[in-house]
Amino acid sequence: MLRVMFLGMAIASSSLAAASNDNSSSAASTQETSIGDAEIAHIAYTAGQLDVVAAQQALERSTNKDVRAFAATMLRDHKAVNDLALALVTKLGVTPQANPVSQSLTDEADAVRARIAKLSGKAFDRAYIDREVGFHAAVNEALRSTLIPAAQHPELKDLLEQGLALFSAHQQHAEDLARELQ
Amino acid sequence: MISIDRMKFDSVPANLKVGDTIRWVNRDAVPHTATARDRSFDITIPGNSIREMKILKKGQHEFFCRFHPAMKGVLSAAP
Ligand SMILES: [Cu+2]
Repeated sequence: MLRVMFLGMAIASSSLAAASNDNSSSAASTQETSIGDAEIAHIAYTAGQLDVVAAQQALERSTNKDVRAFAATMLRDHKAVNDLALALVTKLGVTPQANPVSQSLTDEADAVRARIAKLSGKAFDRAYIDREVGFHAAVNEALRSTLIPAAQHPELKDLLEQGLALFSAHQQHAEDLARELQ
Repeated sequence: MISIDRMKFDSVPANLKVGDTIRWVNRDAVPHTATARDRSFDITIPGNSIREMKILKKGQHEFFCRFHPAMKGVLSAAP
C-alpha cells in the first residue's frame, strides 16, 4: 500500500515537472521529465496491461466465485480499453513512450505478483483484492490529478476520462469485495 | 431506448408495456449486461453496440449489470 502511494507521488512530481516545462515555452528542451501524450499513453496502457496480468493470476489461483467474476471483468474491460487506446494512438500517430512512471508501475506490480503467488485460498483472495483496491485508487488519482489535465489531444483526454469512469467503478467493486472477504 | 454511458444506465422511458422493444445502446468501450433481479431478462450488450429486447413480463423490474454491480436501474412495464 505504501508503495502504491509512493507511485502516486512519483506521478505527481513528474506532473510538476511537466507543468513547469509548459510554462517555459515549447522552444528549448529542459532536463526535466515532461509528461506528454506519448508518455501518458504508455502509462495508461501499461496500467491496463498490468491489471490484465493480475487478473490472469487470480483466475489461475482463486476458487472464490466473486473474486473470479471480478477478475474476469478486469480482464475483459482492460483489454477492451487497451484495444481502443492502441487504435487511438495509431490513428493519432502517437508512439507510446516508456518512462519512469510506467516502469515503477511495472516493478511494483511484478513485486506484488511474486509475493502473492505464494498465497492460496482466502489469503490469496484478500491479497489480490487489496492490491486491486490500491492499484485502481492510485491509477484513478493519477488520471484525475495528472494524466487527464496534461493530455493534449482531445481524443486521448476523452479516452482517459472514459477510463476514469470505468476504473472508478472497478475500484468501488473491489472495495465492496474487500469488505465481503473480511 | 436506454443508453449506457460512462458506466451508468440512462433514464428509463416511462409508459412502457409488455411487448415493447427496448434498444440498449452501449456507448462505453466495455461490455455491459442488463440483468433483471427477477431474471425476466438478461442481455449482454458488447462495447459500442446496440442490442434489442422485448419486454416479456409486466411489473417493476430492478436491473443491474452483472459485470459492474454498482450499475443499476428500474424498468416498469404495464400489462
Ligand atoms: Cu457493466
